[in-house]
Amino acid sequence: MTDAVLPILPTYAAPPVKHRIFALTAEIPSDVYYARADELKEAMMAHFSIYEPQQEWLLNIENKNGVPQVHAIKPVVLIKHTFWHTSPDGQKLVGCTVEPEKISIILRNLPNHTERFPTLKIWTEKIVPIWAKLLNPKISAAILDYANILSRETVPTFINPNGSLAISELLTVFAGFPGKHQGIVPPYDCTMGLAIDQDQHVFLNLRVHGLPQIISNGSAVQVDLQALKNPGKHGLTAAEAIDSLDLLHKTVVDKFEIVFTPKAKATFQPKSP
Amino acid sequence: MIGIAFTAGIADAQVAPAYAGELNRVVEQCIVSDSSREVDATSLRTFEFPQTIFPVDGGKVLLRAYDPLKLRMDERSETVTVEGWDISLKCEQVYDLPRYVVRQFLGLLAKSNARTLTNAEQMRWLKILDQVDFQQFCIDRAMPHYLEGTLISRRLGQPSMVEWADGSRNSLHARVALPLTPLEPGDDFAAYVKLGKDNEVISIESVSLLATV
Repeated sequence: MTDAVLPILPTYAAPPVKHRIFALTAEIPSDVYYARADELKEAMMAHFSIYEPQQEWLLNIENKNGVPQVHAIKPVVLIKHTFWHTSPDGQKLVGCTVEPEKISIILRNLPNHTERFPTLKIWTEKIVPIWAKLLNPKISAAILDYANILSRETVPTFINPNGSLAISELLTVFAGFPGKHQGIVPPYDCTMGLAIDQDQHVFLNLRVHGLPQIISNGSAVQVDLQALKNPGKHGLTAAEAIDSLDLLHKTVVDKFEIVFTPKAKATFQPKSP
Repeated sequence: MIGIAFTAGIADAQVAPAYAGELNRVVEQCIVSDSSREVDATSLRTFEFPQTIFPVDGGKVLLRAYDPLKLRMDERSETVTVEGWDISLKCEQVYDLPRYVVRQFLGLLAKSNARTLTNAEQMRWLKILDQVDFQQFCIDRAMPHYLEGTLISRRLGQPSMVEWADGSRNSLHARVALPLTPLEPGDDFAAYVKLGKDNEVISIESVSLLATV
């Protein structure tokens, strides 16, 4: 996390961030959403170079007492409209996904690229007003999500000889686990919510979960830091949602400093403020 | 447990005249067993497309389906077929289904207007009309009518009363009557008027004052 907006906290040249996503959930009447869908696509393509729709085929199978059963709700196919802006070297760098009740601005953390939070903010300020003007959404929550991947690629010095991840040396929440044990092994899946500022309706969800796939011959863990502003029935205007971005970012950065151990942070290549 | 289903009789199918309000068709009754608790492979290959509103004319008019369209998937050819619409698409093209739906609808509508539907197309057209709110579509898409009338009363924020040339009277919602703001009660005017269900005035545009000669 290299964020010049927070000079009192250290910044890092090589944080383990996989992507940063700013999302707004909203209520949009379906006739407005679908009536304006083509117009929205045209407006988006003025800023993005690739249109890449995603299709999700959902079977709606539920687990009842360990037995998979088909849910009464029929299988559905859902469409997400995704747009990409590519970097000069042709990689998908900034994306935007539009769904009937959500917009997400995505910044991928690409190797050898320096784009960080300020880039996400610039794109948010550019795209959200277009979406809001066309669809007149009733925004219910603003969410800033940082996904961090801990693997041989991002924290090579924390991989044990057997390919496992020295998780207790990386994350403070695992460091002081009581009792005697030889090590912490998969599966990891820990989720918790923190009330950061209830007056401002700001919360943080922290999730640490082991990834099923092996990355570079070693196990991998994802650490999600998700800050959200959820003012309940009052909702947010588009301008308020955009304004909340700095506060949400501060929340993520604060907790990033606490969640990772000093030893882990030393490998993220701290930069002097 | 059994359920009773009513399905359209093929022999009674007729081409619905364009802009017809309702279809009068004989239905035949059949009995189907309730198999909702059974799971078969077919149910896992039939997907619903949750979008029931399809934009026409750039979203100015909406084609509304009563229920989500049903997509039957064929894994071998990786295609889906939309039940009752005779639309087949590669699975990867499903995102473009709204465009195909509108294209199919407008194509059949044009042929219906020209009375050039083949028998197979007539059948398909009837099935489609069963699935969409055709009456609302026709109302939304109808061109405004040229009408002449007299403003009877108008007060800010209140419904306005208008008497048309044929002697009928309409109470207009304040928002609809906004184009009549320059008029005084007693003024004769001409305008292009869009009518909805039960001849309700939906919008007024291009108002001109008819000079007293």
